[in-house]
Amino acid sequence: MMPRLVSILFLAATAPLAAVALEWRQTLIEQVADPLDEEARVTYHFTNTGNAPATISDVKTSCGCTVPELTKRTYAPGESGELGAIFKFNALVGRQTKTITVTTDEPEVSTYQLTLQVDIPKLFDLDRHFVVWRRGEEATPKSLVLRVLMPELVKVVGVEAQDARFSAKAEPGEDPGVYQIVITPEATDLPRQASLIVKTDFPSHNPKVLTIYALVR
Amino acid sequence: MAGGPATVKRWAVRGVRVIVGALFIYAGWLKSRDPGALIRDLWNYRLIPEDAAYWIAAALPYLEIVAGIALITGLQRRGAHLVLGGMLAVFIGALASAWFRGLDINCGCFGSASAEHANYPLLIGRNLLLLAGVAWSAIAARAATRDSSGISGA
Amino acid sequence: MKALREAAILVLVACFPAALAVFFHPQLAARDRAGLEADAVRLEGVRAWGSEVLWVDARSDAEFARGSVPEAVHLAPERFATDLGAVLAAWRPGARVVVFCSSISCATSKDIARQLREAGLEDVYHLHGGWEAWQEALQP
Repeated sequence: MMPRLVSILFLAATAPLAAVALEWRQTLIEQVADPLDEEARVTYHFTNTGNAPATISDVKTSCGCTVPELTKRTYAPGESGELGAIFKFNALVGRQTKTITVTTDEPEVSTYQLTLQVDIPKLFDLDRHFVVWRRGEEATPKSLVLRVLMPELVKVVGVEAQDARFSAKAEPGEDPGVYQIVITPEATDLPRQASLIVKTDFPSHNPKVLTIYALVR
Repeated sequence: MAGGPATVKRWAVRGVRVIVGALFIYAGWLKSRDPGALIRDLWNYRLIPEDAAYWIAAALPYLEIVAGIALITGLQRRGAHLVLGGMLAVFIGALASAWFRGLDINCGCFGSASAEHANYPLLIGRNLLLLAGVAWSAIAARAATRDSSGISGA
Repeated sequence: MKALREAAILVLVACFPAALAVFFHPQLAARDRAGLEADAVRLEGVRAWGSEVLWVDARSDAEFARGSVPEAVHLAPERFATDLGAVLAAWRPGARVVVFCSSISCATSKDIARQLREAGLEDVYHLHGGWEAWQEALQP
């Protein structure tokens, strides 16, 4: 039950006991993604520093969004190789940490943990993701506030309700990048749920959209 | 007194006390900063009831620090031998129990298909090394008491 | 035995900083005696509520497909915005939401619970022990 750092001290003292065949140039790769990026592609370089061939038997990732790439499995002593990883951001934002666990078979079973840390810039901030009316409540407009964190890059161009029984518009606020999304229901007599798509103009070839919801419960 | 084997041995014991004591002080300090993680680590062993983990996480770090200081300074050193030796025996026992049950203490999961497996031989081996250090310090302390009590009669 | 007495002294001395930690360390002070954080619930606690509970499964697609809590809604972390619709579809005002992932050690449920709160839901908790707690409860 000793903490990790103490283990490094001891690893030095007990090195002959540990079976380390693959030496990694880096086990932690940190990146800051560009707002335009949809994925991160990284490479981990390693060398077989043992005196027997090392075979990578398994590569597992902590999330389905990270896919490893390996051209071959067995490396002769002294041979170097590369393990690629593609991390698709999907809808994730903020600091993302994904781990890749590599297991070798020869000469002994060893596991190596690689870490990929990506700071995915958050482009939007919503104070809420949905608005709700109670059944029978007055059908007055309700709004939520959307803040675009890089207003020079991104502009909101409209809001489209996927259900004709709701109407919505995006009203620019006083500060740049702040919008008030105002949603009005036709009626609140029955329970209902509608998605609303907030459209932007960035990036131009595939503009980002946000989904918010209007509920009658 | 010339630097004979007895002096070398004395300095070696001092060295071991300083190293082992410093490691426990450092380990205790690290644990004291993140008791939440310690509670979770204790849960992962699945050996103690959950409330117990809270109190252990509160006290263990400071006990490690106090005992580490005691080992180095000599104040209540015999108590430190008992406390540190007892802790290490418990750590080793807990590790062995987890290993035997096929439990992965990194995640508290059994037969995990994903996460990295805890390296039990390494973890247990390290603690055995520390235990040996504590034992040596205890034996040396007992020998010193015997010697001094023999001399004081003269 | 002298060693025993000295050991007792060391334990006593250690109690002082430990007591301070219990009262003042943010991580310890914020928990109940069992080490449970605020917004964490135990399965027995949820059952005692009796009221409407919306279960949110924050595990992977594969794990969800293998089996989940009856009527649980699946929310995959990387598809939060899309799956939120499914969570909202099952939600009623006043319902308590309990998010769970695989076990005690997995942090995803805490994170998803926080995101659901930020999305505007109230009364969102995460299940201490996760799916494993359910499995254990099902044992005779």
